[in-house]
Amino acid sequence: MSTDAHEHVFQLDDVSVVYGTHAAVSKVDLAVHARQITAFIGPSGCGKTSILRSLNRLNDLVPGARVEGLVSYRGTDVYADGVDANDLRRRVGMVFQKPNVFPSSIYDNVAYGPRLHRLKGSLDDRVEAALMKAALWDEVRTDLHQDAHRLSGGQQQRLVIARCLAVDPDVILMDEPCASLDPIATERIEELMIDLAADYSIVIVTHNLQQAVRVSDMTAFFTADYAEDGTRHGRLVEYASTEQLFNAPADPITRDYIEGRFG
Amino acid sequence: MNEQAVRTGIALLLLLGVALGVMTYGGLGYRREMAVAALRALVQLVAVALVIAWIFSHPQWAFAYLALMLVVAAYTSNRRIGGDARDRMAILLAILLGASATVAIVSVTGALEFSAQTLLPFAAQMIGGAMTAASLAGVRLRDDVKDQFTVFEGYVALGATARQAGREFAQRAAERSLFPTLDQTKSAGLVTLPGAFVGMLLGGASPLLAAQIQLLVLIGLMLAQTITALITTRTISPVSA
Repeated sequence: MSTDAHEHVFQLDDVSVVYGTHAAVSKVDLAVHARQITAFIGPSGCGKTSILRSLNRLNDLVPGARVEGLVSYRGTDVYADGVDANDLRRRVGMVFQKPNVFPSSIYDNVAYGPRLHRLKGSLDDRVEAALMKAALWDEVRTDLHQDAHRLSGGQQQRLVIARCLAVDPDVILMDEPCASLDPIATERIEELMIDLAADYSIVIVTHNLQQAVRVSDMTAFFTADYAEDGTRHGRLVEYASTEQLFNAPADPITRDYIEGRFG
Repeated sequence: MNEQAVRTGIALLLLLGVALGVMTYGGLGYRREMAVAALRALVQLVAVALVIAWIFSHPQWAFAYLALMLVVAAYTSNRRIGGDARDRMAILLAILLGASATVAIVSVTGALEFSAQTLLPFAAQMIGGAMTAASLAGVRLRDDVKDQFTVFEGYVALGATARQAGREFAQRAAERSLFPTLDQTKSAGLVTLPGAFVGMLLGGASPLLAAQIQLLVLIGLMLAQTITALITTRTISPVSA
């Protein structure tokens, strides 16, 4: 499969994420394809979450964090002067490891983004459409004004996905979205991801290799090298179609990892 | 030195001496700190009394005194919160608005006479109370955001600025900062006799007048602190830079 034939939403050139003086992950080059699912896998400390959070500039909130190299979103350097990070985050939504629902009703959770950005059209319609796309509508349609914390973990995570969808994103970043869910709830999220990939580009960080195989089109494998002083430095080992990476990895480190020899 | 001052001095020495003696007897530490604190209080109160006495005879300087107090309050509160220069300016405005709204009402209604003698101590108390509210509300806001950082990130990830995301935490932080005043107001006269009331009785005022003034102070604090807490939590940065 030729990667050049694809429309790219993100292009990373020589990207490093640095916290203070420590480079958590260095020299990453990869392209995220439109309307596909891209998985980031690798052992703890390999920097996959740092790279994910560099895409929507969420590390801007971390004092001392800095991104080097070029992260471009649809041709624009997202770290260039004059780029509005808040605008970027509307286009590039995020789903977190633990469902971080807001302390308000189901409706208000979904309506937060459209209200914030003063999006046009009927708010009710927008909330309904987002909940439908997140496969949650049928379960909550009669309880829209109930406290969102009363939903189950899997429902909360679908609510967080609906919250992203309500502001018409282009890309959805998912940081281990099933880490806190049981297998049945996980399966529902995975089905949902595959459905959503028809309209959205998805990047998912996962510790679950089987999940990467089940849902993703492309996989990036990161690893961590240990320096003498014990600090970890992440790097990208290999980026290929999921099929190729798991069946015919080019790098022996990738093969050892997917065969379960470390990590 | 008049006779009253001498008698006060003797009483103070006795009070402190007996306190230190009891501490020694009980094996309590902090005797040195206690003595230093007493000395500091003496120096500070005499100094402030001299300054205020001077201002009463030069009332045009009352505003300068209050302005200085306001700046010191903003610095103190901002240091507690750990904010930057921009946060300090936000806190200064919050305290200024809270205190001036209160002073405006009590002077326009004529509840307090428009003079340095009445408005200076009243405004000073409002600034002090507003400062406490700003500190509590700001510290609370930042603690809440830190405790629930993933929820905070949820707002930011949808395109909210840090301040917009902080606003979702502002209400609770502002409410919490009002609890001490709420408790103080509820218990006034029952569990405690508040400062202004006691002071006026000691100064020879009638109990009813003392109660009136104390009410102006207590309810005034409610207003000043509410305004200050609301503005503080909505304008300072919810995360430290």
